[in-house]
Amino acid sequence: MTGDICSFSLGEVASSLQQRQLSAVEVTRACLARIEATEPAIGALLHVDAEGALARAAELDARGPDPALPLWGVPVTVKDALSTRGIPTTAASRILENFVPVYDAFVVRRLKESGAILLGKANMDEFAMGSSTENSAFRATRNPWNVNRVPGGSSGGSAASVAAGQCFASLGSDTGGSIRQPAAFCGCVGLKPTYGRVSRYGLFAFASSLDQVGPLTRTVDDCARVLTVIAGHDPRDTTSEPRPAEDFTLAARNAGDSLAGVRLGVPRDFFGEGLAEEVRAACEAALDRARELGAELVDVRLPATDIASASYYIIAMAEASSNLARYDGVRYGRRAPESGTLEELYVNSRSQGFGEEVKRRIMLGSYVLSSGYYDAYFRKAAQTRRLIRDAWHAALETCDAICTPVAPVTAWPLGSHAADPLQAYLMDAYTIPVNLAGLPGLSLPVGLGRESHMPVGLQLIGKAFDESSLLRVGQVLEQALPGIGAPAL
Amino acid sequence: MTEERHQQRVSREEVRHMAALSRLAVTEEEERLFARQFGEILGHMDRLSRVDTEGVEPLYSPLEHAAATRPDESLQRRERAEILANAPETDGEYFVVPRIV
Repeated sequence: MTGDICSFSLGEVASSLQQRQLSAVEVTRACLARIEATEPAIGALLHVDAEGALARAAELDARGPDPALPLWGVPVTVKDALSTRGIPTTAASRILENFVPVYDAFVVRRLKESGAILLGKANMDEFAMGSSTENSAFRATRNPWNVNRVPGGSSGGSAASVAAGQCFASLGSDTGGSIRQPAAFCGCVGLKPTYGRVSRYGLFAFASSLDQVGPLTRTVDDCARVLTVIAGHDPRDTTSEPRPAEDFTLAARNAGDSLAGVRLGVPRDFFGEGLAEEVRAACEAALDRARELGAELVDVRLPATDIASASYYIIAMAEASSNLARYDGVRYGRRAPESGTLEELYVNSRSQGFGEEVKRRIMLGSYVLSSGYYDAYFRKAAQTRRLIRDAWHAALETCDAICTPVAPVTAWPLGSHAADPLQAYLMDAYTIPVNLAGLPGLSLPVGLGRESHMPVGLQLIGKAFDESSLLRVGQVLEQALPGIGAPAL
Repeated sequence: MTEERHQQRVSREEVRHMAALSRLAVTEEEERLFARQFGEILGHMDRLSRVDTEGVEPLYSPLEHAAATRPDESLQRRERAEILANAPETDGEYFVVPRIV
């Protein structure tokens, strides 16, 4: 029986736990066994807290289920960019190799307060910079659907962990697609909430005007459940939206089976050159299904994706160079030995502690902010960002959600982009504008690619703070599409 | 995705300047690699020059609401020992760095 527990949805396991058909210890043991069985093949986790998880499960069992705690007894993982009290948190960087936080991130505290059990920390690209999880300083994670392919990134450990049945949900962070793209590559549901919807307190900052925390799960309903737990106002993040969060589970639960009256915007430019045929086919089949269910598909015009990508990388690198200035070898993190002066201590600690991609982005970020280049790069990118945001807002006035592929291709073989960072950057073209505009984006599995046999994700993008519409449309489509099953690991 | 690439010329001296701004040291090998890669990446970014941004206010955050204010009250959230717990070198009371003066 325990073999089956790990294939349950979060909703199913939460309900079995509440009805005492399963104990928290039983479920936790099943997940730990699954981790032990699958980690040698996929390497999704950087740290597993088996002892802590079992102790917490026993404690919950002793108190008994509580209907007020929506995640009572449910094992989860979180991306290693989220601070966890007493549990190592490295952001997959050597510079934080021995870092043990003294506090929980807001979202981690919310998970715990809702009864969830933290199993461990998920691998990622170092400081969330990458889209394959190969930039982790510690290990590459492999895709559960095909271990010779990447899981996507930067929240690749989270996506692989959920897809492999190690846990029932994971949290990731998304600066330019880092939740949605790995969710698509691993056949999960992934949501980047509206900028300001979820507190970033305790998220290791990459690019602060773009970063947002969100769930990765196996179903849309599970995604709504986790979002409801982590959304809400937090005075410790000044960008946190003061208006109270909704019960997002209602959107999924009351979705029905029709899309009558729903207008879906389709930007034809996102289905043009550079899109793999198998991705186009799966996304268009899903849109055809949406039309059969009553949705009206309308054309929308949006700014060119290459312009958005240029604006994004300037802004993200500039903000990263500023945010990562804090890693100086003084207050926490790695300190290079034998540094004679303070300046040498900074330079040596940072040069030894950061990996190549992080250095690249910090250096380009310093450059676009530097005297003589600020106006041509950073200011220009911020002006372009306003044009992009306004265009997306205008397009969303004419429809309820915009549909695009999540990524132009399915999961690529390990090592494909190692020598060409620009080529890797261009793979984020469809997800990046959503962060620039601060909008919510849902990644929904819609099929397997005909050639690669790897999962394909459709991206649903909504108005600011209208996650409910995305969850509703996602729920109806999920029920209506054949489903992709689970990876045979 | 396939696209036409425009390369900008970035010298190894410029790479050293960017490293210095970033408090990073680069090896000669990294200098050569980064000079080439930065040329390609900046070449991609240069396509923003095609965008007419005359009179457009920069957008630095997508947020609509104003940052909330709070009473200016002092709080003690952490103990000294917690703050020092992850430091590479302390004397038990302060962070220790190489001699400055």
